[in-house]
Amino acid sequence: MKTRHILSACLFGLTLLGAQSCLKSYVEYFDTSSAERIATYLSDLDAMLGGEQYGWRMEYFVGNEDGDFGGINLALKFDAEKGEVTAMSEENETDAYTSHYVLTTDSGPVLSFDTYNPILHKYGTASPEYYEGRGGDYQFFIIGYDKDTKVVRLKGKRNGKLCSLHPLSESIEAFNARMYDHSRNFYVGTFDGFIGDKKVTGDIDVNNRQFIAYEMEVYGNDEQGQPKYDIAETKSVPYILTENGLRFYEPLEIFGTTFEEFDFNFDMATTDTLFRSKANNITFQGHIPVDWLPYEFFAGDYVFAYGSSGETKLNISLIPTGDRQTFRIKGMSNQFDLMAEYNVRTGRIELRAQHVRVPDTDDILWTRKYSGYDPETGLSKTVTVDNPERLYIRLCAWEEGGYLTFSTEVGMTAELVVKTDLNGKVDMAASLANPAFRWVDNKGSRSIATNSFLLYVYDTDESVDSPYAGSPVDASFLGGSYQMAYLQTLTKK
Amino acid sequence: MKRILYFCFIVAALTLGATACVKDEMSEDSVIVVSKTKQNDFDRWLEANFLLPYNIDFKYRFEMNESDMNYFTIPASYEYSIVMAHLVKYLCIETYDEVAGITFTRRYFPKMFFLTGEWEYRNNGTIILGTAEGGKKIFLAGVNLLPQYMKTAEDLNHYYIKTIHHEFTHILNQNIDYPIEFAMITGTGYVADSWSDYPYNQQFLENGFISDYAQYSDGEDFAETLSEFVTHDQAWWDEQVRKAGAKGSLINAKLDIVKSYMQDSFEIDLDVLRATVLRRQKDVFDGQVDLHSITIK
Repeated sequence: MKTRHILSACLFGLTLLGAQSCLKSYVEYFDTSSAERIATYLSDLDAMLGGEQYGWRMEYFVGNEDGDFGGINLALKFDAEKGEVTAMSEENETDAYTSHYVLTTDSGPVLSFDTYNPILHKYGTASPEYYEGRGGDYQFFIIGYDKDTKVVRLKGKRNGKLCSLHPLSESIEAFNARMYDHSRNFYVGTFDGFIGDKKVTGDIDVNNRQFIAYEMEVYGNDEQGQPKYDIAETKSVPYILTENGLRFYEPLEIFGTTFEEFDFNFDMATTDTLFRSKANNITFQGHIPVDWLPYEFFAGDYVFAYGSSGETKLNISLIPTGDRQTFRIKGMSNQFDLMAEYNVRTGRIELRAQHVRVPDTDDILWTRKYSGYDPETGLSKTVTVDNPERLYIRLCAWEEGGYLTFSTEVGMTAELVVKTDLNGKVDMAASLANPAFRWVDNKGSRSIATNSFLLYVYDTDESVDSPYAGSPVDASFLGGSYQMAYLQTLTKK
Repeated sequence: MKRILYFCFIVAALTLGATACVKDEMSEDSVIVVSKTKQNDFDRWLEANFLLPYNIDFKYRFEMNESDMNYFTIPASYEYSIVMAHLVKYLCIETYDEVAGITFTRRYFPKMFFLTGEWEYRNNGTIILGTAEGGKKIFLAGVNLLPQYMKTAEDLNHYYIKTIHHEFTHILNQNIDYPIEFAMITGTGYVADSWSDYPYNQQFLENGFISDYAQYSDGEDFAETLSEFVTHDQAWWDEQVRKAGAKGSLINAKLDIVKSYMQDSFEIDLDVLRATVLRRQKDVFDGQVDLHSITIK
């Protein structure tokens, strides 16, 4: 009996041993290893990218927790032999930069733009203002590509935005020039319309490429018996401009109807801007901003008022420079000129942080003197330097009593003071009879609400921590101050 | 009968076990296929000037795995990477070749450089110019800003070259530790992250430190003392000690330890090293060094 039990136990043990031994029976689904397959996949893609005669359009979406900047059309030409890529952007008409790219494996197949390119790395560049950059990726997981349509689907490695590559049927220069024109000519500010009997209104943030729709609800009737509306829900989605209109980053549902794109005519100046959704057979009416004004309107003489109650007044002139984007400002100072920017999307002019110019030239004004901290002695005084040879005088955007910045994105916008008639409706004829503008923050900075400007001296053109920094000694605004606190109005003579 | 049955079972089970394992032949080819970056003229120049003579991998193309994911940075530009490679070679590598011999450089100089285009921005307003890792790698940031920060030797040293000497000092310290006495001289003055805040960012000399960042820790103080010394002339050093007033002697006491450490541990005369650094620096600013050529000689 005992022997039988021992024998049974041994038998059972041996059977178990046999059962767990390694009889492998598997089927080879692939002829090659996964690494070889991914290498072939990338090699084929590289040949496709480099082999496209005209190049590629990239739908490049950018954004992170600090903000969304929508989609930008890039034009790319790959040289697979050299591993180089030439890039253009709808944000610049003619600028083209060449850098390197590599198709590699890094948690999957990856397209990496791995040497610096001012176009491809613009939104990935960190700064004191955006220390995590502005959500622009330059390394992308390759989600897939279709050998027939040649569409390459990408996903940003760091910020995760979905992007894509599409083959072009014209040169990158021709494509980019047209998209540049489209982006400059698109300045619709609001829209409205109906889906069935439901009213929809919305804003279009052309600077950050955001489409914002409001589902409206009736909350009563006015004196004429017309329904009065209020916003019930806000829907927002980033968009990218297309050949015929705009397309959303992801489908947008408004009152149960899903929209992916709208068509419209880019010739804003001559047509009513109708946003047509072919898929849904729905049309919205677009409106350019009520105070949108053409470039030519702004040339002339003005009274520029600043101070807490606008008590300081300067007679200035805005002189067109010929590029239809800027005006030279004369009359702010005897030592320098400033430049005003015309923003075609808002139809307004802006005064932003900038280098001040030698009068009547484009030369940047420089000095060797400033009043401030002397890095040699540690004292505050008037400092004269021999080395570095040049200290640059900058107009800095300033929140009076707080921070200042020389970021050229930051400044103030001249907003038309709009007059209304007795019924409360905008009266543009009256508004433009004696046009006056109010200076407001252009919201170019997250941390500074610009209400003032001041002149400041730095030792290099982009220094982040210049040891030589202070107020200028030999340049000032008319009246002798280097500060211009609380900008108020700009009134056309 | 039962015995025969048991025996049969045992034989069957053993046979099953014995035949279960069939070994596949190991393939001679690795399953890992390394992606190949297309080699350009600069790559070939780096191979001839960094890789073959010193076994240094000079990485100028962006690799996320080499970067610090706590920060958001961008690739270095091709053009300025070439300039930086020349500066590293002429002002650092060949300086140590000249002073300590090529064997020293080959043995101790970091085996990898990794470049990025912008500074690493921290959310407290400070920036990171570079770091050293494990005695092996030096990371240099801000290469795309090189044109504006190499107008003067002071700027070039402050933002880049001093950083390399500083980080190389850490690497030497990781090989041979410095005397504990160094940390005692201004032992209560180290303030960690507060070094960039007032009053530490302005009163470091008066507290016995050669730079503001030296107040971070004794390890950083050691690296700052060495790197500030070798990138400045004696007049500058004397001026700093004079400004430090009563605490100037502490700065010089720390310098003495740094000098002894370099002499005793590596047979490097710090005064000779400094003279060599400054002479070579002058060559660069006198235009005697072609910073753009990638012709292999």
